[in-house]
Amino acid sequence: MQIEIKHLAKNFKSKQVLRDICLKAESGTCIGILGANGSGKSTFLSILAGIQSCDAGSFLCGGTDLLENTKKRAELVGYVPQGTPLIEELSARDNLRLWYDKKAMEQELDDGVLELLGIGDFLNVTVSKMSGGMKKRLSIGCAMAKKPPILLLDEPTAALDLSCKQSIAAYLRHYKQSGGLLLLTTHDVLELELCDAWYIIRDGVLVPFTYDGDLQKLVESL
Amino acid sequence: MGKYFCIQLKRLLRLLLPVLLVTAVLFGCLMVIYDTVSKLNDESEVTTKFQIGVVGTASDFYLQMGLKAISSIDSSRFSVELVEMEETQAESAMRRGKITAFVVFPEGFLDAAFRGDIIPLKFVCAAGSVGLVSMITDEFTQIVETMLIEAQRGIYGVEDALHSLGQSGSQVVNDLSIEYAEFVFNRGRMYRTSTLGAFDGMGMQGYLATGLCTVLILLICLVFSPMMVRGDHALTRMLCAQGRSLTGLVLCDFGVYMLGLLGIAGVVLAYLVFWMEASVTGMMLLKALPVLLGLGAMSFLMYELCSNLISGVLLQFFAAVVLCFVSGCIYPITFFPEAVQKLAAYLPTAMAREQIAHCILQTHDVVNTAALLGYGCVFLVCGVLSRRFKIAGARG
Repeated sequence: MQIEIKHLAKNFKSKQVLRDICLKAESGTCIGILGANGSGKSTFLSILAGIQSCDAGSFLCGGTDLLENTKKRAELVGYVPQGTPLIEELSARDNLRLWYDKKAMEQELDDGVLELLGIGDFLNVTVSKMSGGMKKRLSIGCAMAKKPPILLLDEPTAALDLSCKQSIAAYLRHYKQSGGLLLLTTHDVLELELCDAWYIIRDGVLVPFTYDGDLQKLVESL
Repeated sequence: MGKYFCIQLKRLLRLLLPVLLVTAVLFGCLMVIYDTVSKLNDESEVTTKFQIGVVGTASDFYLQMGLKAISSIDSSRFSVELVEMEETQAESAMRRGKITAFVVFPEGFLDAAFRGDIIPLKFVCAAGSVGLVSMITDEFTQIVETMLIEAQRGIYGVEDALHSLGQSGSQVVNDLSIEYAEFVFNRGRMYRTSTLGAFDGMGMQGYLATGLCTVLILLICLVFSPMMVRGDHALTRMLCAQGRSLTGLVLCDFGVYMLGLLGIAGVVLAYLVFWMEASVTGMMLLKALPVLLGLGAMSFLMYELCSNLISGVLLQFFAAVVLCFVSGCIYPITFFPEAVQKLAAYLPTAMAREQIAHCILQTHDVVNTAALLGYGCVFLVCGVLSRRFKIAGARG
């Protein structure tokens, strides 16, 4: 499966945040999107997830424009926003029930994505009592309910400790190896290492970048 | 969407017990306030009199007789009492708040009056009267001042005029004096008419009850803050990405919120019916629904506009206090300037209070009900737009 983003543009009143975004990616790859704060990374993912509208452009997958076809997009694209898309007062189990059928949830907990994410360990814990890592794993678990082949992640490991980052990176690596297409915005070195291609959003345009572990070069590019 | 509604309902049930406890405390506090103010009101209506000191009449038999006559024909004497005293005593009593004002009859006042000369009376009241009570007091004391001066002028002026014509008109003068004094004093009926207008024909206690009901509903809305304030809307964003309708999500949230409000209102009502033996009919409940809808939607919109718990609580609290105050829910609206009264009539809190009054009096006002429902719909639409703006208009 291949996705192609063509000439995506988005204005906020007079400010043009995304000017001409073009991108091609194959399944089984991970694309890292970098950029300074406010450069439009989250807006870019929000548009692809169908939350925000764009002024121009298309998001093609198998000949279908996912920006136009809501049903297909919901089927193919999973999205994990920044923050906590969970209900704090309820347990992990209750939160999962919002996304999964009871049977499917039990199955995934036994031998599936929820098991891989280790959610079974804190299934009955209230979200407000969970650590940041648990919350993020649970959020990804919720987004994976429909087993989407494309996963959009907005800074998935921001503000997490190293161990949590590694555990989430391990799952994302597994997702990629099993044929999933990852598109993530990040500021994190560990996530950069997970990516197969890197792009920087600068002046509303995606600029390809080769990350070879040289952080100084990366900072200068931003 | 059903799953989302059920999950939110479950969330509501988790929070219901603390919400109920806080509501019980709020309700208790408002009942105490109501009870205290009602008792004060009762006492002030039945026993409290505005005491006016009268100085300089002790040595004058005719003035004393006149004062007694005034007291006996004063139809509003339940609120005004004339007390004879020395000037120093009067000053001291006024400073201590024992009397509202005092009038000094200058020496030789009566002799001068017999000659046709009027020596002005000295009228003393507290300076810097700014509060409502002072305003009322001032009005009362001004009336008494006018009454004393004009009655005396009238009586002695006519007497003097007749005397200069070589006629004796003591009987006519007496009749005129009594008629005049009755005219000045007979303001009780006017006062009552004004009172009826001020409290929607339900008396001070009923008015206070409707106002406090409105305050209670808005304060109950405040108790739902932990559930209603959303920080980053990440859940809404993720659900929208899954193809769920944003309007549907907002309506689900509002529906659950309204159920919570109805549940709490039901508990309060059950308490009133079973413990306090209040009489509640189905029609009254039906009429109360627009109140909950209008105020609930207003509160819902405020929650939508906030981005954290502190701002949410503060906005709800200050909006509740200010709107209730301006709408006459805390203080009778008739005591406010006319411009404020006109503005308040358009506020949802004033409409809610009026609707509660209609519930109690079992009267109808279709326009008020429709306006309240209209407000509810407008607030709800604004809530949807606010969420849409937050979700779709965010930059990053």
